[in-house]
Parts: sequence; structure tokens; C-alpha cells
Amino acid sequence: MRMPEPDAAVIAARADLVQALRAIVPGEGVIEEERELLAYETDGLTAYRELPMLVVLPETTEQVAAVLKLCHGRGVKIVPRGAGTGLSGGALPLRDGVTLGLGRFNRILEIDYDNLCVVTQPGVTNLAITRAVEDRGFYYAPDPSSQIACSIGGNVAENSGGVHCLKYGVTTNNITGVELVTMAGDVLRIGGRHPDPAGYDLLGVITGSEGLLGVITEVTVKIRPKPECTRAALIGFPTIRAGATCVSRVISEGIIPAGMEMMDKFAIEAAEAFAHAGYPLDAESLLIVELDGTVSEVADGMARVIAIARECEATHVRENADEAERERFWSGRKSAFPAMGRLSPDYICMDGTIPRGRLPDVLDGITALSKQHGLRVANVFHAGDGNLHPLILYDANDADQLARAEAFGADILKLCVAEGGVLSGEHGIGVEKRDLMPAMFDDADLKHQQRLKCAFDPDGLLNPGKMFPELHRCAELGKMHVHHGKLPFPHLPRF
Amino acid sequence: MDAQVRPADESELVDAIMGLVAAGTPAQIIGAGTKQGFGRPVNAAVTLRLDGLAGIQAYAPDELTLTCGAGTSLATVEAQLREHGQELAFEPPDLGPLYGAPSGTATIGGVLGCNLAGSRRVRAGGARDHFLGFRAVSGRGEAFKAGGHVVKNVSGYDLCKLLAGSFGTLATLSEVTVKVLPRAERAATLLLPGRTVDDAVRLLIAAWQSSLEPSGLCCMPAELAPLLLASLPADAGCVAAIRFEGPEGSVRDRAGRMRDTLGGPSQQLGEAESGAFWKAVTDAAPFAEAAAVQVARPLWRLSLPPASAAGVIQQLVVRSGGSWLLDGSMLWFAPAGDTSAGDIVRAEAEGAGGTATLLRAPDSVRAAEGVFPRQGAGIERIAAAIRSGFDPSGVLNPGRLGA
Ligand SMILES: Cc1cc2nc3c(=O)[nH]c(=O)nc-3n(C[C@H](O)[C@H](O)[C@H](O)COP(=O)(O)OP(=O)(O)OC[C@H]3O[C@@H](n4cnc5c(N)ncnc54)[C@H](O)[C@@H]3O)c2cc1C
Ligand SMILES: Cc1cc2nc3c(=O)[nH]c(=O)nc-3n(C[C@H](O)[C@H](O)[C@H](O)COP(=O)(O)OP(=O)(O)OC[C@H]3O[C@@H](n4cnc5c(N)ncnc54)[C@H](O)[C@@H]3O)c2cc1C
Repeated sequence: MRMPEPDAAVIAARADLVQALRAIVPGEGVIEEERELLAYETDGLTAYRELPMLVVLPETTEQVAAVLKLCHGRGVKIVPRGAGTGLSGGALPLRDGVTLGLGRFNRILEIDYDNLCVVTQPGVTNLAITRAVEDRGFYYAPDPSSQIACSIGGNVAENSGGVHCLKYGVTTNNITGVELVTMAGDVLRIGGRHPDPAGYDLLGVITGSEGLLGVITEVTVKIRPKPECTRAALIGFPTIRAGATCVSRVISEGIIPAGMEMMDKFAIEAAEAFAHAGYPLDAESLLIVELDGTVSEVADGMARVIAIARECEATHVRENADEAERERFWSGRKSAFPAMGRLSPDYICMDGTIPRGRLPDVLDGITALSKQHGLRVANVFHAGDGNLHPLILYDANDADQLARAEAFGADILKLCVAEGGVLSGEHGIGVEKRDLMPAMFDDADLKHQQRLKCAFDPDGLLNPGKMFPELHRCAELGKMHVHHGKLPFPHLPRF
Repeated sequence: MDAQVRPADESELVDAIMGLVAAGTPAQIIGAGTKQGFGRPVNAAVTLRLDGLAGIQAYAPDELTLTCGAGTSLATVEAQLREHGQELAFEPPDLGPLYGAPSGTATIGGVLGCNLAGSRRVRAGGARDHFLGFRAVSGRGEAFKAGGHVVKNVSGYDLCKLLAGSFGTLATLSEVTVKVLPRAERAATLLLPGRTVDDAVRLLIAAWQSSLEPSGLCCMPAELAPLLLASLPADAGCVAAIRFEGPEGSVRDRAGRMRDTLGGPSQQLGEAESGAFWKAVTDAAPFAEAAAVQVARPLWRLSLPPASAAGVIQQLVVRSGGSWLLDGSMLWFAPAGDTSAGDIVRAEAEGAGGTATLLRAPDSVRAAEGVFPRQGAGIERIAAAIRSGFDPSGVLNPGRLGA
């Protein structure tokens, strides 16, 4: 992976930087031993590794601000890091950079039931927020499969989703405020406990900014009352197309399930072998449809979903009898990753989104690409919103397989874009899809995105090498190219 | 003196903005022009009018997305969606009548440019949450795009959020893609009259915290009620209203259970009345201005942490006097007399952890006091840098959002 050229002068001044950092973050908060740095060399995208120059683990916003100010002054690059579960390499270290870990920001600061929100530090895990409020009947809706491990700060940085995002939205729809420290060390408090922050929606652009705009040191999330009733159905189909048609019909009849997940035959078999979830092994595609709401509403909705499924030639229909069975339905889907881990030494998880109606054709395309690249692929997806997660199986010890896996992944994403979709539905661009950005965006698109970056971090010190295939200097991006002499509407008085 | 430019497609829009840049002439950007009183007054000799960029380009009901020219009228979009039993779930308000303009003239670009949402915001989110992608021309005269045509996307920065609520100061939208959702089959509204402000807000929060999924939560002084729905009496005290939407059985069930849980006197509005009532709440109809009015009466919109609303209302009523309408987290406040009561309103909003926007006032007041909430110096610096990145010559709506 091509990364920004390391700055030899910065590396040479490492010892001095350690001293200066220790003056800000005392004790064990500054890590310089190679043995300990190794723990930070990769994130959830394990194909890429790099040893950070240093790791610093601040505990307060003041420390974060001081660290950033110091590094800003010295031209030292920063890589923010939450729990390191990211799947696009967003927290991949830089050899001349300081990895700034937010793991010590691990406290929930306030639970405000009256305003239906929780104020938390960014290192708190996604699931811990729900755990903190569930005894009063509330929860935090976005539920990435990694929720026991990933941090809420990382969720904001990636704008993460989960299986329940079809109905309740992704991270950006479920937060109302952040505290952010800029690369220059300014502490900004954006939004609060009310909707629609004033002025430009900086909260909206920080969400999903992959650690390139600032370091998030506090998050205010919305919590919701737990639905009164939740029911799920497991539905098997003889073809992928039949399953995909069922998904479209459910939506077009006005039902918005809490979650609607689909798996192909390979994924069904692997998940069943791993989790014994009771999946039908003769199905070519499997849907988990979950509805929530009041008891009567869920009962009515489920009856309609099942009627639609039967019209779509479902061969297997099973509603959960009790809560334990509903959890079992999900256990297979949620363990799709470890299940693949048993079948193959390594796998990469792709993340394109397509218009739902294109699903059967895109899956045919993925099957053809699988043959072409000579690698197996299992498909799990958030079918309700068209977000695909093809899992490509390979062996990282075989350099040729890694190269083929990367090429296969890139071809899948290009296919998604060609079918009217996008490169990433929830895992972010990071380093993984960085060089594919031009497949979706032209030069003017990317330059406008980078102008936003320039407003926050004009020197490009925060997480460089991620998201953009080419970093333009801000001074160059700021120039105006006016074509004098070319005046349209010459008839207008002021032109 | 005023020149109006009305591009018919994106390339004409590029030419128009290039022309502005070359001539150093700023322009006022309007959809169909209904929201000109919103935001600080714009000093511009040229008006760039976007309603030529109209027409629905792609609508896939199964995909829950719609793509159209940014100048398409909201009415056209909504009519098309209604044919397929769908809607814009953020319930865009029609605020034209607040400014003495006719209703039904808004464009989708104007609604997104102002990030306007109605009563269903408490459940469905704001305009920003339904804005999936766009094509636009920045103040650099360059056409660009962001986002996509699908409901879930994290490819690159979320510039839709940046443009939603940017009041046309960064780029001029030429095409937008929005998320659409199925319309609920039925709606019913529970009215809870004769309450104190404290009580009413407490009931609304209890409803918000319940699992009965209300899709509208408002309250108002009783004398305002007949302005929202003619058949409502102007009793004493304050009226709270809670809306439920969904399939028929579910709506009946939830409204009934909510009534039993909350207790006290109540009344239920049926389908048609409920529709008229929430349309009036969403549009802030009691504060509409007569067409011929010369001096606009000041009108504020506050965004508040919901639980703080009762305290803010009581303080505003004591300190300034005036009329109010609480719609979810949003409080409309019209101070008594002709004053804007700016110091009081801003202090109360900020004290509660919220913000206050001066939606309507005479030009002189808006110019002197500013329309939008104050922000910290750090945020202002970044906002200014974003603006100069997207519109370095300041040709788009100069002065709209602030200095
Ligand atoms: C098994 C597994 C399942 C997963 N399932 C899902 C899923 O269902 N849905 C989904 O969306 N994702 C999923 N993910 C991806 C991942 O968990 C999410 O992207 C998550 O939000 C990353 O959080 P993190 O704390 O691990 O962040 P990291 O990996 O540490 O960082 C991710 C990015 O965020 C930045 N960042 C982190 N913290 C901050 C901060 N405080 N301030 C500024 N920038 C910061 C980093 O620089 C980096 O660019 C899964 C991952 C795994 C391993
Ligand atoms: C603070 C505030 C003040 C208001 N003031 C008025 C007023 O004075 N008069 C009135 O009639 N209504 C006003 N309204 C209400 C609003 O006009 C109506 O609700 C209606 O929706 C306007 O639609 P429009 O298409 O005519 O937009 P416009 O009123 O023309 O534009 C609204 C805003 O969006 C921007 N905009 C419009 N089209 C685009 C585009 N294609 N790309 C980028 N930006 C665009 C404009 O520059 C402007 O800042 C105001 C609303 C608010 C919130």
C-alpha cells in the first residue's frame, strides 16, 4: 500500500518528541517500545501493517489538545484510533506518525433520560451505551456486528451502521453533538442535546470523516425506548432472485422492517456449521426479517411479510417461537465472519451498496468474478438497504492470493458503482478503497471534498494517506481559475 | 437594476456562476423565491433563480429514492410520491405564508437549502437525514457531485449534510436525490387540554419515552388552538397534542393506550382533522403574515433540548410576553409588540443549551441583530474557511449566514 513519504526529520527527532509528549501525558501514556507498538500495527483490515513511530494514550480533552498542538507545531502526523476494529484501514499507522489512541476515554459522562440522550467519552464501546440504559427500557439503535468491541468514537468517525439501520438510521441519524479537537489544538463543541446545530452542519460532516477532520473527544447520542415487541422470521428461497424479489416487495408494500438480512448458500452453510442456528441447508438464499413495534402491529406486519414470501416461492418459513430462537436466528448471521475464519486462513469483507433491484444481477456478476480470480466468495448483506458484504477467502501467506483478493475486491466495487451504487455503505474508504475513489468521483468532486479537509486541517497532518488517492496542497486547491473574457449572458447589465 | 438569471440546465448554471465570478458580481440564490426573508439580507444585484432546473429524473419507489432537478417544486415532488403511497418523511413545512407569500411555491432545493422539517422530525429526523446525494455548482463555477443514489453510503465526506442548511452560500444545487418512505395508512391525534405548561411538556416527554412511537408532539397556549383547527375551543391553560401514524389497528391501539397511561381529560382527532391540525403546526400557521403587511412582526424559532422547553417558555412569557408553539424540540416564539426581544430570546435559548434563529423581522432588525445563533470563535473560523474554499469570491448569497 502506497503511503505518504515518511518525513526523515520527524523520525530523527523522535526522542525529543517522546520527552515533550511525556510532559503532557505522564506515566505509561506514551508508548515507544517496539514490542508494545506492535499491538497497534494494524486494525480490522489485517492485510496491511505498519509500525507507528509512537503511540500516545491521553485521558483528557486538554491532553488531546496539547498533544495535537505540539504535533501541529512540529509537523508531526497524527492517526486517531478507537478500538481498531475498522475494516478499511482507517487506523493504519504511519511510520513517521503518532497513533493517538482514545481507549482511555472510557467513561459515560451523563445519562439524560428526559432529553433521551447519553453523553459519553469516545472510547466507550457501542454496546456499553445500550447496557447502561437498558434497565430503564432504552437502547442506542445503530448496532454494528462489532458492537461489543468497537468504540462510539470510531462509530462516529466511520458513520457506522448495523442490521437495525434500515428503520432507525446509521450513526449520523442518531447523534446530536460532539466535542472535537482540531489538528491545531482548538476544542470545538458542536451541537448539543437539541437537533439541527446552528450554521453549517459540522456535526454532519465530521460523522464519517474517518479521523481526517479532527479528534472526537465526546459524543452525545440519542437513545430510544425499546420496542414493545420484536419478532423475526427465517425465510429460505430456491433462488437468489426469489429472495431479492421478496425484499423489494416487502418494502414496496410499505413495510419497513427493523432489519432485513440476506445470505447466499455458501454463507448459509458456513454459518450453520459454525453456529447451528437452524438454517435450511437446501436454500439458495436466506432472509432474516425482523419487525418491531407494538404487539398487534408486529403480528399484522409479520403475517403480511410471510404472505409475500410465500408468493415469492419461499421453501422454508419459520417464525421465532421465543426470544431464545430469535437470538439463534441472528447468531448465524452475526457469526458469519468467524465462520469464514474457520474455512479460510484469511478473508476480506467488501462493503458496496447497490440499488436493491440490481441485486440478482450483481450477484451473478460476483459469481463470474469469483471464477475469474480463482477465489471463493460468500455473500452476506443488509438486503433492506442494498448494502453488500461479499467475503473473499484467501491465504495471506500466498502473495499471489493476496494480490488476486485485492483485485477481486476492486472489481466487485467497480461493479457496484457501474450498477448505480457506491464504494462503501458503512466501513469507510480508509486505505482499502482509497485508490478506487476515482471510479465514483471525478477530479472536481474530489477537490471539493478536499476543500472541506483544508478548512479543518490545512497542513494535512491528520490521518494522511486515507480516503483520497491524491492529496492536493490546500494552497493549490484555494486558487481560482477565472476565465476572463468568457462572459456568458453578455446582455445582462452587470456582467 | 435587478437582473435575474434563470439557467435551464447545469451547464447554463456553470456559465452563470462563472460570469458572476468574472464580473465580481454577487448574486442572490433563490428557488422560487419564497424564503428571501430568511437569513441575513443579501446584498446582491443579480438574482439567480433555480426553478428552471426542474423535473423528476428518476423515481424508483422500490428503492425508496427520488432524483430530481433542485428547482422542482415541492408540490410536484409530493404529488408524484403520493401516487405511489410514499412521502418525504421529514414532512417539509411550507413557510411561505409566514412571509406573506402564497403557499405551495417552495422548491425542493429551497427546502434542503434551509434544512426545513416539520412535526414528524421527532420520529423521522430532519431534511438533512433524507438528503442522499446531489449535483451542484460551487462559487468557483465548477460542477461537482457528492453522495449517491442509494440509501446507505459512506463514500467520502457527507457533503449533503454540509449543503443542507447552508442557505445557498457554498454551492447552488442543480440535482438532488432524496430518500422517500411509505406513507402511513392512518393518523390519529390525542388532544390533552387544560394543562399547565409544565404538565403539558411533561406529558409530551412521557409520550416520547414510551414505546408507542408517537410521530408528532406539540403544545400551545389554548388561545392559539382555534388558529390551528377552527373547531378547537380556546379554553384556559395549555393544550398538548400527540400524533400516532401507522396501520389502522395499530393507530387506534396506541392512541388508546397513550390516553389511558397519561390520564386526565382528552379528546381524539380523526383522520381529516388530524391532517389539517399537523399541517398547521408544521407550517407554524398561527404566525402567518398578511400578504400586504409592510413591517414584518419578529418571529423566532428555537431548537431546544426537549426537557428544557417548559422553563424556556415560562421565562419568555414572563420576560418578554408573546405567543408560542412548541413542536417537538422546536419552539416558535413571537414576542409581544414590535420588538425582537433578541437579548432575552437568545439568552434563554443558550441558557437551556439550545439555539435561537430570528426567522422573520424587518430588514433593519435582521441586519443589526443577525439572524443565526452565535457560535464560538473556533467554529466561526472553520465555517469561514469552508465558505472561502467553496466560494472564494463570495458570489453566492453574500451575507446570508452572517458576515
Ligand atoms: C467482526 C467485525 C464486524 C463489523 N461489523 C460492522 C457492522 O456491522 N457495521 C459497521 O458499520 N461496521 C462494522 N465493522 C467495522 C468497525 O467495527 C466499525 O467501522 C467501527 O466503527 C470502528 O470503530 P473502532 O473504535 O474500532 O475504530 P478504529 O478502527 O480504531 O478507527 C476507525 C477510523 O475512525 C478513526 N477514529 C477512531 N476513533 C476516533 C476518534 N475518537 N476521533 C477521530 N477519529 C477516530 C480512525 O482514525 C479510523 O480512521 C465490523 C468490524 C469487525 C471487525
Ligand atoms: C429563516 C427562514 C427565513 C425565511 N424567510 C422567508 C422569506 O423571507 N420569504 C418567504 O417567502 N419565505 C421564507 N421562508 C420560508 C420558505 O420560504 C418556504 O418555506 C419555502 O420552502 C421556500 O422555498 P423556495 O424554493 O422558494 O426557496 P427560497 O426561498 O428561494 O430559498 C431558500 C434558501 O435556500 C437556498 N436555495 C434555494 N434553492 C437552492 C438551490 N437550488 N441550491 C442551493 N441553495 C438554494 C436559497 O439561497 C435560500 O437561502 C423562510 C424560512 C426560514 C427557515
